[in-house]
Amino acid sequence: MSVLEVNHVKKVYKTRFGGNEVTALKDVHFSVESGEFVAIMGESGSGKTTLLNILAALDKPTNGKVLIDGKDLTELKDSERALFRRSNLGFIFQDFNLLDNFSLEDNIMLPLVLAGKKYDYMQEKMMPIAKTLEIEELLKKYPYEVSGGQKQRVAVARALITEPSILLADEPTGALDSKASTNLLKQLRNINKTGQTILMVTHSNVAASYADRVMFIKDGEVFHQIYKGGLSRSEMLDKICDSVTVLMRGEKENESQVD
Amino acid sequence: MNLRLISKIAISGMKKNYKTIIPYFIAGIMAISIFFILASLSDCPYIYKNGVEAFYGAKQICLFLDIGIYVVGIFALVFLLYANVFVMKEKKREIGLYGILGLSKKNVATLLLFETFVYIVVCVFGGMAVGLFLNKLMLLWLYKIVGQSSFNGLFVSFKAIRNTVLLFLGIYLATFIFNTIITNTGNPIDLIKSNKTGEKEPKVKWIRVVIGAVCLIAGYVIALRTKTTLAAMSNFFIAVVLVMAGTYNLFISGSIFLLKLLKNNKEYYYRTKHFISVSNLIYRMKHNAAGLASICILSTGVIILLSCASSLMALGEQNINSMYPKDVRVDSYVANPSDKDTLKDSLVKAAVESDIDYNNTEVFLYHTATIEKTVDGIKKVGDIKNYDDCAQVYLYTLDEYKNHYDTNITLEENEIIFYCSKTKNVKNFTINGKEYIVKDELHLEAVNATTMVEMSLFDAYYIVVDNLETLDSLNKELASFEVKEGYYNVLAGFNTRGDLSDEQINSIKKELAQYGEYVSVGFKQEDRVFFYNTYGGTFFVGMFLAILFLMATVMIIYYKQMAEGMEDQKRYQILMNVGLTKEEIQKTIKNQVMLLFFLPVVTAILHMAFASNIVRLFLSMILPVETKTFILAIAIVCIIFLVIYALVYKITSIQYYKIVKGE
Repeated sequence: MSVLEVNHVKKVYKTRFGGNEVTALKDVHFSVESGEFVAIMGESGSGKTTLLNILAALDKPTNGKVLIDGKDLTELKDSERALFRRSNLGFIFQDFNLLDNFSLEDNIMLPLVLAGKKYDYMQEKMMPIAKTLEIEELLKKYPYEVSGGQKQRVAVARALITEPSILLADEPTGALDSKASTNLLKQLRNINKTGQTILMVTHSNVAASYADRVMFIKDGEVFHQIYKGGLSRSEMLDKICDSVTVLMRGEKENESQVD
Repeated sequence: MNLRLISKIAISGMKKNYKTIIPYFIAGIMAISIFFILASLSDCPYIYKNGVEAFYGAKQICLFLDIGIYVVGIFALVFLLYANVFVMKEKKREIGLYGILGLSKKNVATLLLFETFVYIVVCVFGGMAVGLFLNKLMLLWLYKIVGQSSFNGLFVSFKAIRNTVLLFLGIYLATFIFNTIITNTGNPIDLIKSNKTGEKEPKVKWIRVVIGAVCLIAGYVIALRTKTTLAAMSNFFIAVVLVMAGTYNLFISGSIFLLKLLKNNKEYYYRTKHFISVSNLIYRMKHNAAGLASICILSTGVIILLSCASSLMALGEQNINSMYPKDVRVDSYVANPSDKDTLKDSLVKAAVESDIDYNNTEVFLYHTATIEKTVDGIKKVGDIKNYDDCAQVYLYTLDEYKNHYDTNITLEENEIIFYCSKTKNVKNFTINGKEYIVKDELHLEAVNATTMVEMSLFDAYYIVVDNLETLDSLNKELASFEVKEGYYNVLAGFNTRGDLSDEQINSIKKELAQYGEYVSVGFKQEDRVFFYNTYGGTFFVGMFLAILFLMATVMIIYYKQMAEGMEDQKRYQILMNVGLTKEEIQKTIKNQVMLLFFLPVVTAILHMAFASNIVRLFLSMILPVETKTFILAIAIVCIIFLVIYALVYKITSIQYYKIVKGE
């Protein structure tokens, strides 16, 4: 069963005073199955961020539909979007997006507080997640007292506490060193193994190699995708690198055409 | 680097930061115009210039204006430096960026100098233009307040222009030097990144909470417990200091204490409505508590100033009437009771000769003395420890009382007719140990004219005794230092229709001069002028100060909100991503902004409510003020203040939403 269906999504931005139109997404069409770990790769300006914003219900597509658990995001009213986001989606960002004035514990519980849950229930929910992510010692600390890797794990805990249908990760290793990155990706992999669907947008070939499937986006379209299948991680990495090289060559050809 | 480019950068920078620059301009223009108006009025030939008064008592007004100039000057200096800090906070990043783009420190200094130049041109010229425009209007207003007829003519004071330009040139150059120093010390990267690091949650300082609570309660208790004007004189400043200390400590530590208490209550804290507000407020109070406390104190000052000034003005005529029951009043001493009529005849003669339209002529023979209060009566003044124990007694014979009040009452030797402003329904009254029976309550209107203006601070006793013999012996028993042995006090007076001319006043003075130094003549019309000059002048200058303080209050809170908005932008973006709806965000923002905005003003009004008693008593040192009128004045002032404040709140919160939403 597919958790996420993206049906021929198109997004056109108009510059402020009419005039120029910029097509960010031309025609994106794909679906993600339940329990899948999907990575989306692409250069800056390829439309990754636009796509993620649309999937997160932060932005509306010009054309096409986005279905999450069979529900059409594009038909949600403004007031419903935030509520939908709160109960069905989990987010991880490159710069963690933790609130400085909350303790780590409060940061994790934030979505549940917004949903109006009881304190005991929140604690019950949080403890096992914190244990899996190895942050239960840090819960009383504040974001400025812990390392980047720890902050990102807290962000993961916050994203998971609502048991979202899909976990959206935007460049989650972007601000981490390689050791913390590996650690985080391994943990995401483990979380995925428990049945959590993950969609990750990334630049990094290494990060993408942890996914079951890698999609390449270019000029607002899904350009290419590769499946891990029975491959080991290093074989997967090789395959990704090859694809990236092809992708980049293509880009050069395009440039020469423009010239 | 050429000046054209630098000026271009400066202008575009100002345009970009218009939200902080425009209020800075307004603040500057207002401060300068107020300073200029006061300075030019104090150097105005229509009031007092080169030792020549334009009208009787104008010198007095000039004195108030001069005091006002100093207060405004010092306040403007402090306030503009303070506002400049806020403006620079926004600019720092920009200047850091210029540094990275390759502007040298000298270039940056030139840039800042150019900006200062713009401020000077806009504010000093703008302020003086506004000042010149309002100058004559303000003079006419002052004339109206002090009850002078208007005049024709314009005036320009070059001294005022020179002083204004010099002072504010100095102030703006000081901000320039300050800005150059802070931008020159940090390297560009630091300037860009300023205040991005996380900070610790504040701790509760218990001692300050306790000190604050104790000071505030002590201040309130003193304010409420003070019962007399004399006590108010000594207690007022103690209460002010205590309440100020209490306010600062409680705003700074008490607020954190309260919020932490809320935070530790898990059931309360972990609710959508409270979660974000409480945790944000802890940090906001950490940053802003002192500023909010200052706003509270300033607001209280404004409200007190305006309430006092306006109730004095409103009650002016009434107070003059109660101080001067007669339009012309002659006080004297006579050795022989029958001499009182000689004095009255002289007064009438003078009135007839100088063609004065007079009526209600009255003359009183009485004794008066300062005495000490006892539990059940009065006694001769002994060793005075507390002025609250003193009172003034006025003694009349029954015959004299009957001259002024129609009654058939008779008195025995141990019986009196009695009135006291403080105690009612007195049955027995002890004078120097001897008990008297109070046969009737005295009709105050009949003898009120004899009340001495300068003694109106003290409680007064009015006593009628059976005959002259008792009167004399009582007087001898009670009299202390200031009474002339064997003489009677005499008061003669009448009312006039319309004001007297100078010749008429002089002829009365001349006629009465024959009685020597013991005669003093008072004219209500002269004292009215004195009154309106004094209180009108205070009121006039007070209004300017109130406007300036109000503007300062409003500016401080506006800048604080702006600064907060920038910090909150990122926070609300995150909350939005986590799934907080727009409505919820608006609601939390509204609650917080409202709280921060109205906390100081509501506290100020609370202070005022507690202070109303002691302030009224303090004020009656100048003039007695009725409780009802005073409360009404406070209420009106508070409402006006709240309306202005609410308006500013509206404007500020709209700007704040825009910033937070990232528009």
